[in-house]
Formats: sequence, structure tokens, C-alpha cells
Amino acid sequence: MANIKLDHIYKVYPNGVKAVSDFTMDIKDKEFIVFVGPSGCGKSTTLRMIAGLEDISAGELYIDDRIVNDVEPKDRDIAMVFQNYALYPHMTVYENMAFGLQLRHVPTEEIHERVLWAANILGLTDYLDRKPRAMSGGQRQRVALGRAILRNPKVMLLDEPLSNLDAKLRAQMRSEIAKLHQDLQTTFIYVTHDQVEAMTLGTRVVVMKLGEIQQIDSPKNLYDYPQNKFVAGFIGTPQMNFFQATLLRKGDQVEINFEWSDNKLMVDANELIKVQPYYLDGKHKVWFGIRCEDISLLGPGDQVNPEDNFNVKISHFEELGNETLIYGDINMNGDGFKETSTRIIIKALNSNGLNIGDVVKAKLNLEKAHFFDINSEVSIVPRIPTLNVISCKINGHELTFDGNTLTLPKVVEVKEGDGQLYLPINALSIDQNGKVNAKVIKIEQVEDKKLAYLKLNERVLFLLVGDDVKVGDEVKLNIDITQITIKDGEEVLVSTLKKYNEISSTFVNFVTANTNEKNKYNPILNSRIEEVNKSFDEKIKEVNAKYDALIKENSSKDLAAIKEVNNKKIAELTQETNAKLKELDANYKKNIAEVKKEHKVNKKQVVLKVKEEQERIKREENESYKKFLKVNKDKDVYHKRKTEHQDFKENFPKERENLINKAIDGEALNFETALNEIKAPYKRDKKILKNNYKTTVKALKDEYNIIEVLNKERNEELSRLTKQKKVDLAKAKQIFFLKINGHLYQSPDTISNKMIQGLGTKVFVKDFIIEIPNDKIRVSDEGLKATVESFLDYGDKKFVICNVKEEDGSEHEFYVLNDKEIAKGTEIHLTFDLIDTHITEKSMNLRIY
Amino acid sequence: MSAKVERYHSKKFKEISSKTLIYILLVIISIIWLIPFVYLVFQSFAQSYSPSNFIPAAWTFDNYINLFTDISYPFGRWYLNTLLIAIITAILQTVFTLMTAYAFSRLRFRSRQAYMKFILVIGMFPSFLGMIVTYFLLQMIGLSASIFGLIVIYVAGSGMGYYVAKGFFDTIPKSLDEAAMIDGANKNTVFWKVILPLAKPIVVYTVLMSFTAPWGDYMMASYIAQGKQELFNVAVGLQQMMTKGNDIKYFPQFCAGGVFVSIGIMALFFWLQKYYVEGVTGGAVKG
Repeated sequence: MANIKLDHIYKVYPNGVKAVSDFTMDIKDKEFIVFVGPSGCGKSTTLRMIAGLEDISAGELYIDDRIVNDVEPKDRDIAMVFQNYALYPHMTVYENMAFGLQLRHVPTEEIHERVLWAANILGLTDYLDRKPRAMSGGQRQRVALGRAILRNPKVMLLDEPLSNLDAKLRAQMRSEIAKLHQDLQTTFIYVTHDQVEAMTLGTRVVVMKLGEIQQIDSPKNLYDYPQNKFVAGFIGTPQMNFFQATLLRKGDQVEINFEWSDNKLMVDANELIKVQPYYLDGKHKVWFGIRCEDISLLGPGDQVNPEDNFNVKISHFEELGNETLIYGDINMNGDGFKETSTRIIIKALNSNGLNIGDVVKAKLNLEKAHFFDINSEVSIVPRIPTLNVISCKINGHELTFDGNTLTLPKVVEVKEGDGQLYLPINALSIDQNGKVNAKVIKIEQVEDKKLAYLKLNERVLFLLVGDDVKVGDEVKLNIDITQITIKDGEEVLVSTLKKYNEISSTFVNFVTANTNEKNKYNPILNSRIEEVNKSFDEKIKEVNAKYDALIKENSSKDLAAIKEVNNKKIAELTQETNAKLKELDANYKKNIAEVKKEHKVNKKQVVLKVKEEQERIKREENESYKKFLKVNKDKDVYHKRKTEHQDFKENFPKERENLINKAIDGEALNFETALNEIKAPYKRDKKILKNNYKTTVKALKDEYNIIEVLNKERNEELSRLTKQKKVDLAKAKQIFFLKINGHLYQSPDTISNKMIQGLGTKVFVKDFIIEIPNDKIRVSDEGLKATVESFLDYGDKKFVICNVKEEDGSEHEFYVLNDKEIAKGTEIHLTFDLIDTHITEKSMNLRIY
Repeated sequence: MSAKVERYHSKKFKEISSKTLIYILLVIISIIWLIPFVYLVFQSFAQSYSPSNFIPAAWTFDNYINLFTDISYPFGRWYLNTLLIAIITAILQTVFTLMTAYAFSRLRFRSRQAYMKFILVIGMFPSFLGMIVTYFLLQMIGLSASIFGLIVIYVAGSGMGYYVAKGFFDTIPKSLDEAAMIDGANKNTVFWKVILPLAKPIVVYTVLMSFTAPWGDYMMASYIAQGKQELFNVAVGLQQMMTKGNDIKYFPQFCAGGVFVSIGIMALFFWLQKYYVEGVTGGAVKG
């Protein structure tokens, strides 16, 4: 039961191959996550990194908020099921399952209980004393599952567990795994290349390609809202139809032109309202994708509107029984067999009345259509559009768009002209004092967010809203001028205000910092050390107090008397245990002897049976041949029969030997299983007996050796504390600083950890860029020195623009959110918290914090 | 006529004739190979040695009794020496060899490939090249005249024989190691509890190989013994016996010693044989 966090994980092999790049994901408790993708996409590597079988090249892996990059697999509390089962062949099923618990020194009775529990869940109770080689593939995989669930791990990792099974068994095991997940309520991570497994099992599915995440989403969303062409094509059978097309907006309508085809559709612009406006110019090519079930063929009686359907030339059919796949081409010269960008597959109930070569009309359900950029193959229909784009006009400081006019603040630098207004949805808010009027025409639920469609006069804007907004409401919108951009082609008329201020920095360790600053930081170090010392002193005091109390409590007992009584008990127990052991041994020997005897008899019997059967066949053949010789008069037939008989004679001994060997092998396997069925419980019982004896004797001895036991316990506790203290002290001494423009800022431990984790000792020679948000920086009496250059008044927000000069002479312009105007030329100081910043390594452009 | 020709050219005829030829050759070779052994066994039962008789004129068991009762040489002592050396060497050498093989098979460390090649090349030099240096080294640690010195020599280079065992370990799927590591095992536990039980055939092979080498070694043993009778092993002892007094009187006894020596190794082989045949890897992974 755990949360797992993968934070910018990379796997780079020594030869430079990047197996996994920038894998970032949060896995919540009890989720069933499936990694899916074609072979070589890095899904197994990622799983193995989570398991600890593969080193992580960069990034951090958290299990329950603990970084486990350098933790051994056994200490991560995970369990894994391998594709090839990986059962220990020399152990019985019981021993296979118990192995992990034995290594963790779990008491024998508890192991027994847990093995029986797991065996019961997986239906293995009858096979516990078999060895893996006497079991079928499905049973073996079940043992592997049992071994994994037995330890009640935080995370179950499954690496293509079903790919070695046949189709029927696979379907059965699939539902068993789903049930297991329901029953155990544990986090599952499952790797597969089979999209059916991924779709049926996962609560969320990660689609990967060439080491990169393509999309993380629920199976339904992957199917309905693929984020790129790869996901769209990978999920769903048969594959989605893809055509190349251009989109051209003509007033309220959009014309879709298909490449290499005369087909053309005219659709209502509202149907493609979320398509990024950039692509509606009729010049940018896009991939148009539509699934085969979203296309329907129009029959002769259907009404035909020439603008919403197109022509398909049928090339062939695939009958699936319950439905038919109709293959065709939208290019009248195409063949419909090759996977080209004009081939089309249509799902229909049957192919009645259709013939190969027919040209038919097909209607597309455009609400289910997908559009992707032709080069990047990324979807151009975002579920939540982040940007609204509207044509506008600037005249002086007047901004006019779709019938609304806004006055831009005097401080904004503008160029006059016509352009496109880029309005991020974060820049919009519903506000009583807003100057733009709009009407809510639609509210769409996207996951846990509500997306409102706001109509101005003609154009529609998108905005995320709360529950209080209803369809039909008239609202007023406020626009954050600092976030808008206005462009005329490539020329920027109005630009967004800088959100982050950048400054460079280096990472410095304590000794360097302290030496340079003449021991200025000693007090910080001392206070950290003192804190650790204090907490441990308290703990040690506690241990001692507890020890004293226990000694006092036990000092009144008559230990000698207890010793006498207990020793007598021990002697009795020894005798009893020995007798039991003897009985076990005797029984065991007797049973083994019996089985061996039985095996001897059985072996003889099976061999005899085969021999008899073979003798009979031989006899029959000889007799039939003899009879044939008597009856037959035809020479040709005689020759044929003769060679047949000779072949039989030649092959007979070999065949007989094979059959005998097969029978002996089968009997040997039975014998081995029978032996194991005696051996395994014998070993188990013996062990339990011995363990019980040991623990009882120890308890009895401890009772009269109580003083020594207490001493030992205290010493152990103290030495553990001393060790822990050493570690904590070492940690306390790890203080680091970020040097910014000559000033040292103590780095918070979370940042220091990330820096060192990411870069190792190289961290001290690298340069970093620190980005400080303009609303997290304050004017104060000390800190970064800056000179005020000007003051920006946006009305509700006011900024001081100042100049920060670095030691190397480079200058940075800082925007600081500040209510009061400060006179130009004034020297001010700026402070900020490192926690609020972003830190990036300069040379590799590696985002660290 | 044509049927006859066909018969001579038939596949069956060819098969039978070629097999017959092969078997005749093999029988001749095995007779040549076996004669010395048969001769040795026969002579060990001869009352007196006469080189012209392949089969002794008069039979006796006295040679075997004399081996242990003749006070002119301590055969019993030699036998015990050899047994002790061979057993200790076999145990240590097996452990070292298998550990080295496991390390080369499973661990990935810098210059692993280079190491493996280096060991192979070094192994091509005959061991007696280093005899003099070895002697001085043993003298420095005070083992130059001791059977333990001999054990040190035998065991020291045992890691070099990793090759066959590594090949075997390579066939054991790595996912078993990984499963065990997730189950809570460290490399040591994996080796002893998972890999070794699966590697019985190769363990037996290694034990046999490391037992036979010191059992029949002459060169190093005679070198370390420095002529002291109580440090001889059987090979050195028997050789001494033969050259004693320039006489063939001891030859039947020498043969008896030879037979007796081979009994030990035969016993070991028969005891270990059943593991040798038994394959235990079935059922580990798919298939």
C-alpha cells in the first residue's frame, strides 16, 4: 500500500543509448497502472528501475515519500512476477513461496499460515509439495503470483506475466489478476505489450514509445482523447483511419480537404471549435483520424447531403462473424490493401448488397474525429484549450476585439495595427467589475474540471469555472493585461510581462563558504549539531530509565528457584521433543520405503504393460502379413506390402523403446512427486518442532537470566542509537549554500538533496540559473542589490522594474510586484525564498528544482 | 541385376558398412588403450615378476598385504597423505572455482572481460615455470616442506579453472537471481541457496577434477617432499619403490599399489555419478 512517484527518471546505458527519458508520474495507492508500448519502448526497464534491478541514471524514485534510488530491491518492500516465472526449480511450490519469508526470519508458523492463505486464493492447495517441473505453465505462473502476494508488499510489479501462456489461459489469468487486485487492495504496476490487457486491467495506462511517455490516462480517455497520433493508432483494433487533410475556415463553416482524393467536407465551425485556430488557414496540413466504428455507409434510401459525406471505393471485406470490416480507399485509384493515408476501414454489421469495386457514400461522425499536427503528430484539439486566439485591432491604447473595447494601461508598450490576441485561459476571470460581457453557452466536464464556453458577440472563449456558473448566465470578464500577447504575423504588438526573473548562481559547500566568510556560519552548524545531540541525549536517558525500572522490578525475584524449576521443564521438553523427532523419522523412513517399493512395482508394471501392448501389435502385424501372403496373388501389391512389413520390422524396436522410456519417465515423475509429498511435510514438521523447542527453551532460560537479557537489550539499543546519532550528525553537518551575486543563501535540505542526487560532486563546478517568480520577490533592507529603473502601473497590479548587476558585469532586469512607487535611481535590496524558485543547470539545461 | 546394384547403393547398406568399419577401428583402439590396465591388474596378483608372461604363472594376494606390512616403505602413510591433500584441495578448489565462475557469470564490473582473457592466457603456461619462485614464497611462510604447502600450491590457482562452470552458470536464467534478490537474498545467499543447488552436475565435475589432479600429481609433490619419505604422496612413493635397489622385485607390489590408488578415485566417481547425470533445471522458467 503505497504511493510511488517517479520524478524525471532517465535510464542511459554506458554505450549512450537512452532507454527511458524524463519519466515523470505519480502513482496513487491501490492504483492498477499498466505500462504498454511496442517492444523496446523502455516499459520493462522502467519497471526494473522501480524494482531496483536496474540503476537509475538520473531522477528520483519515491516510494511513500522516501527516495529509494540507492535502496536494495529487498528493502523496497516490493514483489515482482517475471515473464518466465523464475521459480526455484529445486524447491517445492511450498518452499518457493516460503523462501522470501524465510530469508526475512518470519516465524515458521506464520510462514505456514501465509503460504496456505496464498495457496488457497490461487487454488494451489493440492500442489504445494510438487516441484515446478511437474506443473503446467498456468500453474507455474500462479505459483509466481503466490510468491509475490505472500509478503503483502507495498507494490506488486508484473513484467509481462501472461505472455508465455496460450490465449485461453491468458484470458482466464487476466481476470484472476484483476480479482487479485480487488482483493489485495495493493498498488499494481503491470507491463505488457498487449493493448487488450492494458485496456481491461488498468485504472490508468501509460503508453510509451522509444523511452518516452506518450500519454498517461484512463483506458477510456486513451481511446476517446488520444494526445498524439501514436496513441491514437496504438490503441484500438482495427487501427484508426488516418488521412492527410487541410482545414480552411470559411465564415461559420470549415472546409476539410483530403489529400490525394477529390473528397471534401463542409462542416459547421462549432464542431471543430476546439481545433487550434492556427491550423484553420487551409495551408497547414494535418492528420485527420477517425475510428472505423464512427463511419457509416449510406444506403440508397438515405438522404444525401453532398457536404457531409464522401466517396469510398470498396476493395475487400473481412468477415468477423458478428460484424464485417469493409476495406476501401478514398482515392478512386487506390487499392485499399496497403496501409496508405487514403486507405479506409469501415465497421458494418454485414456486407449485404456490397461488391468489391463499388463506390459508396460514407458519413463521418465528426464529433469523434481527431486532428494531429502533420510533423509533431501531437493532437491539435486539446481537451482544455490553454489559449484563446481572437482577431483584434489596436488603435492608440484602445484594444478592440469581437465588439469589445479595452483601454490598455499607459505603461504598456504598443504598436498600432491589426493582429491576433492571444489570451491564455489563466488571464481570464469572472469579475463583477469586468469590462467584457459574455454569455455561457455550454459547460463541459473534463475530468474534475469544468470548462465553460463563453460567447462574446461572435467568437467563443474558453474558461475554467467553478460550480456556481450555469449555462445561460451572463457574466463579466476581467482580463489580466500582463499575460496577453498580440501579434501581427511575426511582429509582436503587445508582449506578455516577464513572469520569472533570472540570475545565475553556483553551489557551495559549508567549509568553502565558512572559510570565505571568516567562520560566519559556525553558529548555524553548531545549532544543528546541538539539536541532534539534544534529541539523542533524551532518547538515551529514556532507555536508561526504562532499564533501571525493569531491573528494580526483577531484583526481588528468586532467580535460583526459577532456574531449578525451568531447568527441569527444559529436560522434560528435550525428552519429549526427541521422542517426537524419532517418531517423525521412523514414519518418514517407513513412508519413503513404501513409496520406493511401490515405485519399483509400478515401474515394472508400466514397462510390462507397454511391452505386452507392443507384443500384441507385433503379433497382429505378423499374422496379417502371413495371411496376406497366403491370399494375395498380385505381384505389385505384394511388393508394396512387403516393404511395409519390412519398415514395420525395422522401426518396431525403436518405437517400443521410445514408448517404454516415456512410460518410465512418467512413472519417475509420479515417484518424485510422491517422494516430495512425504519429504516436504517431514522437513516442515521437523523444523517447526525444532523451532518450537528452541524458542521455548530460550524463553525459559531468559526467565532466570533476566538480568543478562536486560543488559544485552539495553546495550543493543544504545549501540543502535549511537549508530543512528552518527548518521544524523553527519547529515546535520551537510550544509550547502547557493552563491548568488556574491551573497550566500543557505540552501534548504530539499534543494540540496536534489542538487546532489542529480549531479553528484559535479554540482560544485556547475553554473545554475535561478528563476524567481516576480510575485515571490520582495523589497527589503538587505539582500540582492538593485537600482530602480522604472515603475509599471497596470491598475490592479504594480511592478517595480530594477536593474541587478552581477559581479561579472552582466545585467539583469528584474520585475518586482510592489504596491508603492519607488523613485528612479533609488538603490534597493531584494529578498526571496529559495523554495519558491526554479533551479536549472546551465550547460545541460537540466531542470533540477 | 539392377535390383542387386540398387541394394549395394541403398542408404541402409552404406550405413551398415560404415558402422562396421568404425566399430572395428574403435575396438582396436580400445584394446591398445586397455592392455596396460589389464596388465597392471594381472601383475598385481603375480607371485613373481617375469616380463615375458602377460598372465602370471602363479597367483597370490600377498602383494596387497605386503603393501601395508612391508616396513621398508610407509605406503599407508603415503596413501593417507594423498587422501588428505586431495580431499582438502577438492573442497577448497571447488568452492573457489565456483565462486569465481559465479562472479564472472553474474557480476558486471570494470575490466571483467580483460580479466577473463588474462586468466585464460596465464593458464596456458605450464605451472612448473613458477616452481622456484613458489618454493621461495612457501619458505617465507614456513610451508616449504609440508603437505599443507602442497595444498596451498594446488588451491592458489583454483580460480583459473572457472571457465566450464561459468558456461554452466550462464545457462541458469538471471531472472532467478533477480527473483531471489527481491525475495530478500543478497549475492551470497543467491549463490549458496539458489545457484549451487541447481548446479549439481557442475559441482560434481569440479570436485572430480580438483580431486584427481593432486591425487596423481608427481612433479610438485616430489619437489615439496624434498626426499623426506613421510611427506610423499602415492605417486612419488610408488616411483621411489620402483627405483629402489635397481631391482624388479618390487614390481608386483608397485602394480598392487597402482590398482589400490585407482580404487579411491573410482569409488569417488561412482558415488558422485548419479548427480552427474541428473539434470535439475527443469521447470525454472517457461517451457
